[in-house]
Amino acid sequence: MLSEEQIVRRAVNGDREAFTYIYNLHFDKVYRYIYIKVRSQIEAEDLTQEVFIKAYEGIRNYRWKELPITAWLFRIAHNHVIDYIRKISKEKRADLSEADAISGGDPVYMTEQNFEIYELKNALEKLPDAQREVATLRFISELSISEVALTLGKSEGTVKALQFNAIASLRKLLYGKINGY
Amino acid sequence: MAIKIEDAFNDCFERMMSGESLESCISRYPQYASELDLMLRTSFDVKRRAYPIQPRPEFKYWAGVRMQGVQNYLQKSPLPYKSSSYNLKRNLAITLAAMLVFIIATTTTVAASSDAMPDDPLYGVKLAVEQIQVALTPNEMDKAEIYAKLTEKRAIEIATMADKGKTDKVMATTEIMNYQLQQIEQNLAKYETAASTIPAPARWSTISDNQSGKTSDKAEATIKITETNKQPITQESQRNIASINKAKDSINTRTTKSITILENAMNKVPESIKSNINETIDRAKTTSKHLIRDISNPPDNRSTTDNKTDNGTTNLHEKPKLNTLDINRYDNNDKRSGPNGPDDKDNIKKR
Repeated sequence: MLSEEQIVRRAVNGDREAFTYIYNLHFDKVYRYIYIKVRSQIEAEDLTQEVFIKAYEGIRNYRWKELPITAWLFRIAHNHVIDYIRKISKEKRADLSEADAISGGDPVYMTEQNFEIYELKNALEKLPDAQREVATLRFISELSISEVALTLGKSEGTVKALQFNAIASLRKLLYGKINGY
Repeated sequence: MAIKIEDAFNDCFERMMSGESLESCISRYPQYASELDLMLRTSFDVKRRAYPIQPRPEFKYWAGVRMQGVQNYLQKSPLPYKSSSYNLKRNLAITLAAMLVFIIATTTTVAASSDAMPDDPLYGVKLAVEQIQVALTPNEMDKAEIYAKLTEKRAIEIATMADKGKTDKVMATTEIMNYQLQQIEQNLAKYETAASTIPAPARWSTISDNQSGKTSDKAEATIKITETNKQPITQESQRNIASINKAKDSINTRTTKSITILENAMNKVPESIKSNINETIDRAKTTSKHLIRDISNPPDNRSTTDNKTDNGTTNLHEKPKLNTLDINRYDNNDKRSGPNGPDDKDNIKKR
């Protein structure tokens, strides 16, 4: 079985199957990362597609030694979302009704889920930028500590501290202050 | 050197993601036990809240097709491609390429995806194909049956992912299964609503009048008329009843099987997500109970008791309870009576 590095090298050399493998492996994570930032299903879908098109355009210039592929992809996603938000200047916030969840049908169930996502999104927005980025990449896109560190260009120690502080802040924001945390 | 709390937290988080229990993790760092307990519970709650955020399967599938179109186009295009300039010509070329890829690839991809597990790259295709299958099914009862098949598949996938220790995939698949269980209930409810509009036999009117305790001449006349007009159940309606019962049996069997699979998978998942699996099991049990109640309570046994109150009187303000099996009570050829028809008890009451 090929290692991730070998697959990436193949993709860099124009192997479409290798790129498709990378695409399938990271698609959901990138979508979740973008969705929590824009919280509109339509925008998240468009932006996710654009991120992968950009990635395909840029894969030939990618160098494994400089950055693992996950970190590289999330940097593209991060920059693309920032560009998008700048472009719409005054951030157009999606309504609660636009919050998308996989569940559908039962309005009670849907509302509960959407409300929980809405609460999470609001809580994340109140975090300092660095904590928010770490929490989103780590707990929503499920990147490893080293991947988060490389995506953000920070040390693993810093990311661990930011991660802990982010969770402590989210605890206060989501449930109120308990036992000092 | 003493370990920092953020390192202890990260270590525990990683261990729990690999299947270790919260208690076991915390016991490694007794000095931080209470803080770690709160922080770890919060981190898993954040993950749980974010799980429903998934790309729609159909979007994922079409995005994949479009990506292949882009790849085709760029491979043939000598000019460097810039995503910022989406001009009509390029989009048209990409769309055409995507369509070609779609036609060629669909058959093989769809076939290959049928056994895909949640950790398989083709899993999204499998879900998309399932959705198309449901969308192409016009009948609610058939849809419910398809969803029951799908929930059984999800249960097997959850058990497989639990075996592999892939907690995140277990959680994501559980969410999908919850949704599909809901769809079974909703489609059954829709079917019942549709069935309740089928005219009821005239004998309802006789029951209603007798329940009011008045056997007026008019009521007696109604009895005679309706008895005269009562027609035997047609072969076609008998076939319908048989197929409905068969579908319900099938749904019930599959739901019960799914419950067993999930119960067996319970001891393979970490403590942190057992409550989610339990929630799914409860949901499946509710669906199953719904079906058992319908199957074990044939309408002929209910026809004279459904509207009775505790003291044996009949609540005339309450509509007769109907479900899909109530079709047994009707002769499809008799269009003159029923819950909303001219011989409905409410109408008779007005008379």
